[in-house]
Amino acid sequence: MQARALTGAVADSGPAAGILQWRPKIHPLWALIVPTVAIILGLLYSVFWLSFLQGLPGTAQAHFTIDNYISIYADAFALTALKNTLGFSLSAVAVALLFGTVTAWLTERTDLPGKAAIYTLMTLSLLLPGFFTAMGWLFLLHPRIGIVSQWLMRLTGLTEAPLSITTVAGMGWVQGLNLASLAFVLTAASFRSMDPTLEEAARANGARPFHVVRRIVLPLMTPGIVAAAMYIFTIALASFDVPAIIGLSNRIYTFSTYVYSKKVSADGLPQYGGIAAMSSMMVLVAILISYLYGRVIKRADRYQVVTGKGYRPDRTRLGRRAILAWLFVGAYVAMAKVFPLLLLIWAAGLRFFQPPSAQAFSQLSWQNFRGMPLDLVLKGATNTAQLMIAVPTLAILASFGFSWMIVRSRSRLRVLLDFFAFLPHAVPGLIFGVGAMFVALFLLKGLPLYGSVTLIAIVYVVQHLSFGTRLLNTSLLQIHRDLEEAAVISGASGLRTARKILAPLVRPAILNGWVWLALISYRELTVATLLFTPRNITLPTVVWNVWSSGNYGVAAAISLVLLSCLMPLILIYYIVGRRTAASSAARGPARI
Amino acid sequence: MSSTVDRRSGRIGRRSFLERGTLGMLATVAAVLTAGCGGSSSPSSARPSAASSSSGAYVSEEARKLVSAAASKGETTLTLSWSGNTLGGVEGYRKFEAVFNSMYGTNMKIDFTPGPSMTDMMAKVSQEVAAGRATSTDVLIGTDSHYVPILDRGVLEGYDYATLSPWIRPDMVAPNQIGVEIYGTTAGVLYNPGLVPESAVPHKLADTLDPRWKGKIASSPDAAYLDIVTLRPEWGPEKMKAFVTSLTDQVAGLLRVGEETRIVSGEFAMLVMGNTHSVTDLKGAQIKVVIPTDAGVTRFVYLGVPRTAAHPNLAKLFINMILSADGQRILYDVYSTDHYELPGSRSAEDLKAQGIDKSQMLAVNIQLVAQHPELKQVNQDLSRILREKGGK
Repeated sequence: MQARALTGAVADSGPAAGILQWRPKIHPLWALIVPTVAIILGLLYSVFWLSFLQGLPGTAQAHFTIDNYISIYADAFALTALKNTLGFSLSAVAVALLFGTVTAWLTERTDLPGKAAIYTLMTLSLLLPGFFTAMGWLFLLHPRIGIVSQWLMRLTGLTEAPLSITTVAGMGWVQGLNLASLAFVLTAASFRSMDPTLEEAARANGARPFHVVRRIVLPLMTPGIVAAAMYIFTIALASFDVPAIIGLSNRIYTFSTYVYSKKVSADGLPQYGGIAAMSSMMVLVAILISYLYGRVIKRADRYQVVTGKGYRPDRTRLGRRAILAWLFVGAYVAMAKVFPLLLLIWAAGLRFFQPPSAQAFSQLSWQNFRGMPLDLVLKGATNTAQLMIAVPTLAILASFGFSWMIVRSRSRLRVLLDFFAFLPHAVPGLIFGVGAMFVALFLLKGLPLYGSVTLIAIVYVVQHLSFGTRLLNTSLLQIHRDLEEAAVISGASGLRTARKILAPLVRPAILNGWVWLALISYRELTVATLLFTPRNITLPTVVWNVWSSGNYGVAAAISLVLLSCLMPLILIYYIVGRRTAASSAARGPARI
Repeated sequence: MSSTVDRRSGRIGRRSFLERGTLGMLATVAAVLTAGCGGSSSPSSARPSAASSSSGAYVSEEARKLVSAAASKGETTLTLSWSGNTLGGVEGYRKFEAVFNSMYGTNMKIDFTPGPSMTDMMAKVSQEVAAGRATSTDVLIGTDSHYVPILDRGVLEGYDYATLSPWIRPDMVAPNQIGVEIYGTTAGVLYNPGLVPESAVPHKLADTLDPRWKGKIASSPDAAYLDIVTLRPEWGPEKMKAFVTSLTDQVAGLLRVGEETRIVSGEFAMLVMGNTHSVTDLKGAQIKVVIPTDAGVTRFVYLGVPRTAAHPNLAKLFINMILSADGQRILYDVYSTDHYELPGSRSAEDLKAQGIDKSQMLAVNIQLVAQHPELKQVNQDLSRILREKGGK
């Protein structure tokens, strides 16, 4: 209370105003925010403009009309696709949160050993193409050829498979397994920073561990979990690989595959107007989600736990329960990492993809590795490496600007800024890609943007702004203002306070975010495919194009070679993870 | 054939020129002798002297002009992009590059990048041309369904391909001279012989409606081939829509081009309909093909040069090369198909070996499809029925 009063006094004094009340004529962070907002608005406006266009832009056939909206909203098939998308996304969220959040709690709040290994394994999934995971689950739980399905039918005597992956929920299960890593990284930071004081108080009063988790931990983690849920929901909304592999071939359409099927008109020409009109629905969803998230953030002060007062995160001793914990983590790793990797190795050795059998084993060879288009892979690798460096750097910079303004400043534009930061994520990347392509092709002709890696990077930075801001919002939220107030009172300038107080506390989140954004940039497929030209082809596009032409074996071989080349990055992440785990342990002994 | 070719400038050496001149004279003599033996009548534009089409080394005057034009404009790399396996993909383009350089005495490099489907690439090229940008590919591949919509849109450059070589007949050239037929694809029902016994192999399209196949059949999201089958006398748009409405109850899923291996894996028992040459491509795999007697169609695939292609001269030379005897031989080696109407065609032999009478097959080209504008709506309706499960 005294600190708050002091803050108020300081705030009222002009020259002594600290970082919280720093009112330069133009805050330097606006230099990061304004161009980003301009790009977001520009791309969204171009999409909105396209939604009223029929025919190819730049041709005599192009004309303005509202028919795109009428045809979308009157199309029962579109509504079915949206219904499927909702079910698919909610399933994905449930599965991702189940595995990701629990694993994050076990890693950050308990004495479970092998934390660095868990961090590394969670990272691994981002290096595996999502469509291989989907193909793998088809071979497990497909109603006709699924190995597990066949076994269950023999066991139970049923004539139809009791479990099927070719359903909306089945697709959500696979997507959730893919996204659990993101849920892990989004919630792990919050778990790491949580003050153990309330937990200790509960235990001291005789509360059992389950009650501590239910009554203390979960409520404190609500903002982080809600943020993670919203983020994963919007990723699932626009995801393409799992719906394309499992859904499309079984006539279960979601938003992305609906757009894919409608992308080209019967004239053989692109019909982006219809897609843009469909995206207007997504923008409404984005606005709703942003509003809900803003409500959660508004009550954030209740969840502030990292203060200037003896902050020491604690650990729960698992004892014999560690076996259960390892079984849980092991099961997730097996389903989400080991199995897809084994499938990748299996596919890479076969000319024709087929379930394991004696005949298939006899056909294993190195042919696919010998037939890899190495010059193409190198080209893709170069482009992808550029994206992996530029995108996280720019995204984190921009995200920090947004997050600081949203969480730490008292600007009246905070809510609007948070809306802009979250909006690009809720709008499918495909739409921003369309907008970017249109702008680069027709409007910015003088700039060498079209067909360049730069254009892809711009879209990625905008797309991933929300990931960076969610990560940094959560991290900044956990840091009480009294730390900065103390620095201000001691005479530190705003910049020194940021450098000496704020930066060290958010550094783990920044480093973590940078690595994850680099990996997400490596893996991103939808926008890269849309903006594809021979000049800017990325590694995922190389693998996808090879895969979708039926060369599953060569695509698998390329993926394995890339995985091997990225092992140094995984090793770095393992080392960083060990240091993070070590510093977490140093902050406090485990208590029951 | 060796030659004194300056591989840096691409100029043809004297010795090679003498050899080519000799061949040209022989070609002229052969043309005079065979002129009265039938074949398509020549258009008003002059056609090159014809050597035997088995001579891959023949280069017409027009082609030599293109070689010079390419050299003077600094065209040394041909940019190609199409769906990964088309024309043999990576393996194919390396062999075509070798034949190209051997044929023209050049040192051209092909920069090949596996790209999206023909439909998506057509859309991409269309918008690049509309924006006045260099296109992502110097040569655009497509069927009638891709070329007909852009016949009058100025996307592809009109060029008298028939002047390039004697093996390019005028009737192989698309309307408005926007492209040339390079091979044919025959439609058939692909099936897994482990799941479909010989006694149950469908010999007519209606056989696929057998209840035993319910939930085991795949089709394609764009109703591949089913639209052009309506041009056969046995069918018609309404009859085909009724068939597809019944078929959709049998269909368990939709497969895109390139996913035929999901028949091999047993995920689906059969695909209605697919390319017969996919089966040849999947030699050794558990997959076979049957051409229904009431649905025999062959659809031609074209190559054309976008109006804003970065290397238009090399692109035209590539098209000419692929239609030469050597080019067609490579095409069959890497892609299991060629133009069955050209001499020495192995596709023609395949059809004969399967007991298929070419005259019973409906040959579908751009000219035919352009005469049936209703096909666009038919394809949309069939695709919607398959995609939306008949609207139920």
